[in-house]
Amino acid sequence: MNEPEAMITVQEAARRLNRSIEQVRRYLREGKLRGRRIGQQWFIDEASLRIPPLRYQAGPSREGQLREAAAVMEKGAMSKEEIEALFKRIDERREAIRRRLGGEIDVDIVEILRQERESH
Amino acid sequence: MAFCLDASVAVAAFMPNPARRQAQDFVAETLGRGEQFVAPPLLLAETTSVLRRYVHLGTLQHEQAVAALQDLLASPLRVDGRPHIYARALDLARRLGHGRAYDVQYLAVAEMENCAVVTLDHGLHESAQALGIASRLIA
Repeated sequence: MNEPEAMITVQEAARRLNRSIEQVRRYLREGKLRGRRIGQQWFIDEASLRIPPLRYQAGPSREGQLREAAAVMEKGAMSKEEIEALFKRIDERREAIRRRLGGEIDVDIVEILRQERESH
Repeated sequence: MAFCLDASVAVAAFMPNPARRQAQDFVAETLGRGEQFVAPPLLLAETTSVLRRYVHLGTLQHEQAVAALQDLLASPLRVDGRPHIYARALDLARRLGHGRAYDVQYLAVAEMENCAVVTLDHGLHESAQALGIASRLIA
């Protein structure tokens, strides 16, 4: 059977998330990743990989554990290549903005944040 | 070692801003060492709001704001919104005599995670120092 569009194998999801295959299967069981079984194989909705997996925290009760888990999301470490790609994208955005505005952005981020907080 | 990332550093690092190149360098160095950032959910709310404001002002295009936010979400970041963060933030705001409890959420996370908060905000840095919470000011 052909793999559906926007669905990936468990092995591919494990590679992208830098997790073991067993961990990805556990994410599926726990509902942290969306997927469906086709024949004997599970496929994962690719879009659900963009949501960082939740990390369980110890809590006083099962209800407490679930509430704590829902409150924490975590994305794992990046490889050197991923970091380089990240800052390459940022540099490209800077260049695009510079070209469009005809100069550098010069805004006071701290002042904007202060205004945002005071407006609430 | 983790750092508690505040929105000023996040926006400066992930949205190109030459005036804040130091923030980008700090984030790059931290990630390069394999370290992680931690933050309260407020980080995502504030970053989203500031990015939207830049788009509204015409500084950024919508697609650039979305790309910057996606890059932040894809970075090694642990967002900790456990309920006791907020109770601690209330307590810290009271100790500081603050009438609001926004930026103290970063201090609550830094304190509970036993890590330094990293910020461009002199006010937040001074608040951290007053409370004995480690802080790194990027100036």
